[in-house]
Amino acid sequence: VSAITYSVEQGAGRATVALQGELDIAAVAELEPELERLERDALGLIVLDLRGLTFLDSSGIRMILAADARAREQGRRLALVPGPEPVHRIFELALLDRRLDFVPDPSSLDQA
Amino acid sequence: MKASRWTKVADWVAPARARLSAAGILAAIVGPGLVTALAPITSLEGKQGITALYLAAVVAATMIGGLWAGLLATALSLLGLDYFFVEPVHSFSTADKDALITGAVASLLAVIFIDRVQRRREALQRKAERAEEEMASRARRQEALANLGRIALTAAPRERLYGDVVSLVADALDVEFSSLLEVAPGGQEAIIRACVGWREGTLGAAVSTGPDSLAGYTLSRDEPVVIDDLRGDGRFADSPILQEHQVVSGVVVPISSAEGPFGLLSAMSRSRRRFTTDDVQFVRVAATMVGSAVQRGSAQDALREARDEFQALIEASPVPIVAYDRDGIVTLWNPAAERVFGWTAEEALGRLLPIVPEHMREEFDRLREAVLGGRSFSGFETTRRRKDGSAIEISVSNAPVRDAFGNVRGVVALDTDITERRRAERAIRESEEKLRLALEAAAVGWWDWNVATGEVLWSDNLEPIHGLPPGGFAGTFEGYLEHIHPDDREVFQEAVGRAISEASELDFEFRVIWPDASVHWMQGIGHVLPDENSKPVRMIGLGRDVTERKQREEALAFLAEASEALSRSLDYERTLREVARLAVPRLADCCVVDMIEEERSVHQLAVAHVDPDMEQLVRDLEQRYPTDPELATSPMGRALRTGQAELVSSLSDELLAEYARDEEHAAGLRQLRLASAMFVPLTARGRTSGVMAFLASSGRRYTPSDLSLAKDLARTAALAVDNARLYRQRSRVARTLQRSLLPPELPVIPGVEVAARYQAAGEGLEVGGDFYDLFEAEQRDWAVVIGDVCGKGVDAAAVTGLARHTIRAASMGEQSPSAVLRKLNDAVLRQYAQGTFCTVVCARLAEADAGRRAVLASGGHPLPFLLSAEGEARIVGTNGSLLGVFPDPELEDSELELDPGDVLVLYTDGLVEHYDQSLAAGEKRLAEILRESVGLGAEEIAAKIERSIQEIGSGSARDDIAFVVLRVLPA
Repeated sequence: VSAITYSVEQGAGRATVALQGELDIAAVAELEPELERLERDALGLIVLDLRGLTFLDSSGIRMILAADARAREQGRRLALVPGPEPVHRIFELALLDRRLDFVPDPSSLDQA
Repeated sequence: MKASRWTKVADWVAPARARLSAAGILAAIVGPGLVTALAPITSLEGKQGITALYLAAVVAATMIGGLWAGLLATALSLLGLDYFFVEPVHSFSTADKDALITGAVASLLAVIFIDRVQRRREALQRKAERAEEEMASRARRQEALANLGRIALTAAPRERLYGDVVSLVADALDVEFSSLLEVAPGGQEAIIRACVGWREGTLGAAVSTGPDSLAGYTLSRDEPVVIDDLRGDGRFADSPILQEHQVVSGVVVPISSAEGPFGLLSAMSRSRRRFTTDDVQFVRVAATMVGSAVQRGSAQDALREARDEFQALIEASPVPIVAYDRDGIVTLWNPAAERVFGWTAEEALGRLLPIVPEHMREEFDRLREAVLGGRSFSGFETTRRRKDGSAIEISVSNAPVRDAFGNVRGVVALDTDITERRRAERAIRESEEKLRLALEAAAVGWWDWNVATGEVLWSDNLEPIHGLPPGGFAGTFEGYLEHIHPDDREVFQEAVGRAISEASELDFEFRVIWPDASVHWMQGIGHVLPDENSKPVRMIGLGRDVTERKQREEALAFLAEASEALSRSLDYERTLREVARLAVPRLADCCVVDMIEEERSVHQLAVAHVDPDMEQLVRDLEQRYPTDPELATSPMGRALRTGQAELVSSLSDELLAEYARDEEHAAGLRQLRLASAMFVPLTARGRTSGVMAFLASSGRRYTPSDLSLAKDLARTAALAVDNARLYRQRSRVARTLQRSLLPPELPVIPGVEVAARYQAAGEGLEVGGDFYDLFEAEQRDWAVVIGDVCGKGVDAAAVTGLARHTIRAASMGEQSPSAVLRKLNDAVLRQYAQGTFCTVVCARLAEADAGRRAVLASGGHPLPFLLSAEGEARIVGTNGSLLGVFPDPELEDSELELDPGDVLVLYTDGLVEHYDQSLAAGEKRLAEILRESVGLGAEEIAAKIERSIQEIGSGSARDDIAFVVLRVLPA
């Protein structure tokens, strides 16, 4: 049973997925097919909003890395809104904050 | 004396003066005048003749006009005589004194004499008149009283009687006022009920009956009170009513009744009046008549009321009430009789009693004769007929009716219709019979216990229910207790005692022991019957054998308990032994569990028997004659081989002989006194892993429902066994694999203490992704590695293997940990296209001047802690990229000096995340633990960290946990 809830806001060539709760292996099993479905809609921008996350494990990292890899491959953009400090710390630990497209202020995307 | 004489003089004078009337004066003047005028023309000559004539005139005047007229006539006669006839004539000279004196004396004497005679006559006449008047008054009063008596005798309303009384009294006593008062209830006052003469508004007024009131005084004296003059009478307080009416005299008489003072009757006058004894007596008699009339009136009222009530009772009676005279002629026929028998009162009254049918005539006559003889009957049941000819069953109660002289003049009969009751009685008998049949069919018996005597009556069918022969029950409560299981006797008595003391229902289940020593469950339901003082005297109830239900309940409870035990633990051997233990004695007297081991050999896992000696015998027999699935005659073997359950409800000697391998086996089996048996295979997922045998001694026969229960149990047990075996298999594989990925034992590094721990997440059924390694890379140059592979299971195990071997290989040539990690990054990228990565910290320890010099690099892994000998704990190293994702990872070496006593702790994220979901908070907790560990050896520190994990609950760890502790030994 996953301890995650998420909401998808879609429109104008972009989708924002806001995650709430724990992104662990059970959550990945639920969320990954949804991400792939959004990718199939050929949207230019997918935003993963991690601000509501309370937990992230290596399965979550793997899912985000895989999505990022697919985005780069397919010429789309995967933007991440950083989660709270304990979650973001994991990205920092693995220097992923440097590699992934983190957007500290999601409103900046609107102007783009 | 003097006064009385003067009164007498006055008596004399007063009427005399009154009699000096016109006639008297005329007579006194005319008489002497006539004599004077006529004397000269008469033949009378001489003074004597004339004087005689004058005397006659005086006598006549006196007789007509009385004393004064006589004296006047005398005076006139003397003047006439002196002037006309005595010498000298025609002058008043008194020459002839003698003649004048003689005439005067004679005249005066005549006057006085005649007056006295006249007075006497008048007095006599007055007396006669007075007597006559008194007689008339008496007659009037008598008549008044007679009238009053007549009124009192009629049933006239009281108000009229009172009104008549006061009128009569006022008339008879010739007074202005009369009144009648009734003492009000409570006696504090009297109410004026009737009055004459009093002003309007007096009627109905209340008068005080206080001790100083006239009314109260009279009532308390209980005799007439006469008041001559109220103004001078000091006995009573002022009465407003009497004062207002200016009453002066009066008489008040109390009216008494049997109950005491009833009221007052009074006669009052405004003028001063002297009431005679007659007057008082009259009022008194009137009062007495009123009193007795009132009393009789009350008695008549009561009698009338009683008669009315009696009449109403007869009218309203639901029971026919009939009366008839000596000849059998009906004199009373109430509405209920009309209703029940059909004849109306008009039809029945005055005729012969119609309700007696011809064939009952003789019996009726006998009865009637007896009642006419003065006897009474009650509840005599017989048959009567209705008007429509139908028969009716009645219960007759007869009593004689007597006349005023006590002679029996008839019979009164109450004829209660008992047709309904008879029907109800029949219905009750029928329903009792039905109940008896129902009870017998349901194997339920009834009992009736007299609490006081201890006697118990019970239905015959309770005997077989208790295993007793007919008549085998002692019939007492004490006797019944003997049949109850000793363990239940006390609670049974408590339950019964409670039901009696609280007058509540009894519903109690207990065990009884049959004469054949078998134990049976009974249910007793009882109801307390109190006597009229609410004291419980009897208890009645039902009893039934609930052994089967009870066993079933116990079996179900046992099944639930066993299932719970089986699912609780993975140690199925222990659990099955427990289940076998639980099965005895609830499902069996003996339970045996045999399991097939992996080598197809059969292993006796559990034996339980109610009797420990017998249990040993079963063990011995099983040891000597182990279950053989290939042996066709062995029921245990058969169940193992075929997977089919077998029910042997009755285990005969022949069958036992068939099971036995040889004579000795047969003897052993016979010793067990088996009566019934069930053999149930433990089958799950198509695999039969064992067999359970349920064996019963005498007293229990297995039924198909027992078998289905046993099969339920076996299914649960088999699944538990299978699961446990699968689990063991998997966790054995996982453990084996994990072991292969970790160093079998830690190497000894000179001058450095080493300790490491690994704990798989959850149940440890899967290979974790954490690993650590410690090896000598170069001469006296040691490498320590800790890492975490993304994912779990076999895939993760493969990456772990790759990582370990790559690091070991790379460490041989390369010196820098970052270079080693770069090689690992390349290897993972090469081997696994996408989606797999790992994090690793790699450190190299070289000997330095005083301690060690360490170089370390992190590939996306949490950085190690350094705990200095001074107690400072800090994170060391530089973050680096995750390995296996990017072709150009950022990896950086960090160098640090380790002094003697310094401790380096490498760990996976599972450790800090176990402390707290937040990495930062988890790191803080680890730092705290380390600071508390200053001076401890590496192994002690590892143990301390392990304890801190367990304190939180190691089972709850959601990730693998691994850590390595290195401590540079003090020089």
